[in-house]
Amino acid sequence: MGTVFFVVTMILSLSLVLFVIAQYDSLIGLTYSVSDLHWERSSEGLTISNVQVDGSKLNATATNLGRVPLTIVTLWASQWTGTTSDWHKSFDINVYLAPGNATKNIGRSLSQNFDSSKIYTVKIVSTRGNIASATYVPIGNTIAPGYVNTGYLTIAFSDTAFKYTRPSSPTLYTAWDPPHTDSCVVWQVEFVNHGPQDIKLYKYSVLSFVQVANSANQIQYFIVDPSVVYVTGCSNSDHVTPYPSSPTQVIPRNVQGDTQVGGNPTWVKFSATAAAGDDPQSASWNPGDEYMVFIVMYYRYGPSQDYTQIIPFAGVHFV
Amino acid sequence: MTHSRHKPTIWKLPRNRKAVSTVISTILMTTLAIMMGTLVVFWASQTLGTYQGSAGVFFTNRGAALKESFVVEDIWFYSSNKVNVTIRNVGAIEIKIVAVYLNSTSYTVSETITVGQSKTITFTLSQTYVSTSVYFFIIATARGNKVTEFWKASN
Repeated sequence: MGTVFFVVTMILSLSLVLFVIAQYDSLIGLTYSVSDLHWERSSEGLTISNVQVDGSKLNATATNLGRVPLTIVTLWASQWTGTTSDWHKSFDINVYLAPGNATKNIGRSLSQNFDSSKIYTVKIVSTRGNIASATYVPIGNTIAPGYVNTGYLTIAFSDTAFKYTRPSSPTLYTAWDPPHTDSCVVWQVEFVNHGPQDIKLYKYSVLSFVQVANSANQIQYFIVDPSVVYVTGCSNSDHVTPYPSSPTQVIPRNVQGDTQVGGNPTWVKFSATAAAGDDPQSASWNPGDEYMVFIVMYYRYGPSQDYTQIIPFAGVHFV
Repeated sequence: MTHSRHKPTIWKLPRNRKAVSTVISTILMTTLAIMMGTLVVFWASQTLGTYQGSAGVFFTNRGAALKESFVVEDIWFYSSNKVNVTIRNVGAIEIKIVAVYLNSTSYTVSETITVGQSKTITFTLSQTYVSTSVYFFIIATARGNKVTEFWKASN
């Protein structure tokens, strides 16, 4: 009889122990699965940039900088006139983004019409609950909250930001040590706009060479149309498309909100002898000549602010 | 002398009185032991059953609470005293929003959100909100989870 009680008691005790172990095991498993969810969420790198209004449609770029694929399921948009909201809506979308991939045209399929003269705040949401937002600010409007009211240009921080083409050839060459025989050229410089509003270039923008040995020896190359690839020759009959073109060249604003990184780099071309001229500049270089190069940019930033910005640029050594 | 006639008295149990026999006593003891053992086993099983039940409920509730996860997707102030709070369920279990606190003022709500879905909860403030002021939100679920947010009334 005692054996029976002992066995019964042992079975009860064992069942209790097994029950606790099973519950604990279940909880641990659940904790792991929840941790996986949190890990996946923190591994997403959802960003939105280049928010534009093309025609009446919204156009933005979404990028997945994370390690796991993501799906964007909601787009929120608010239209503002000044600081007053006109409307605030959400739209169901379904955009898959693999790690490292970007998708343009986010928002183009929306039935909602957008007005390029209004301010928009746009926010996208992933299935895991990550959120990214950006603001569209048209030229001529007040600056969106949170931005710094400072706009300026810099040369793109890259050793390939200064190039040129020789006559009748689209091939690009790095311009730091050009051959002295390359006299009639189209110089190309890559600029970055660090401000939150677009910069519209004026025709007076010029790239200037000043000889180190003789500062009186200066050669100017004025801005030309961005469609110009090369000059056909050095004479005045070898026309280049003059500036201003239509539309005026714009260095796009910084939509990332990071004033240090700036907006997308943009090539600006210099070749003409005069502002808005169509004659290509010709120069006579000698081997070993050294020139200081600086750029004077004239531009309109935002609705009415005109700037002149002198950018000490480079020392060029002709070989 | 008469002293020699008195002998010392010896008390003896009467041989003819009835008592419990060895067999009976064994049966009684065994029965008693069985009864007590049964009682103990019954009590133990009841206690363990109760414990198992409550422990099961505890683990189940904690597990369900762990599975919950939600984010505040958007908050929008409008019409001078109305607020839309949009919540997305990004967890692994259905959630029920039971309360929203705005600057420590409680607003009772009851909104169930399935996994992967988002819902907008609208409630009316007791007073007019102040544009560009920052408000503190706490959104609580029935299982006791909560999300806190600071949000600026941007309109």
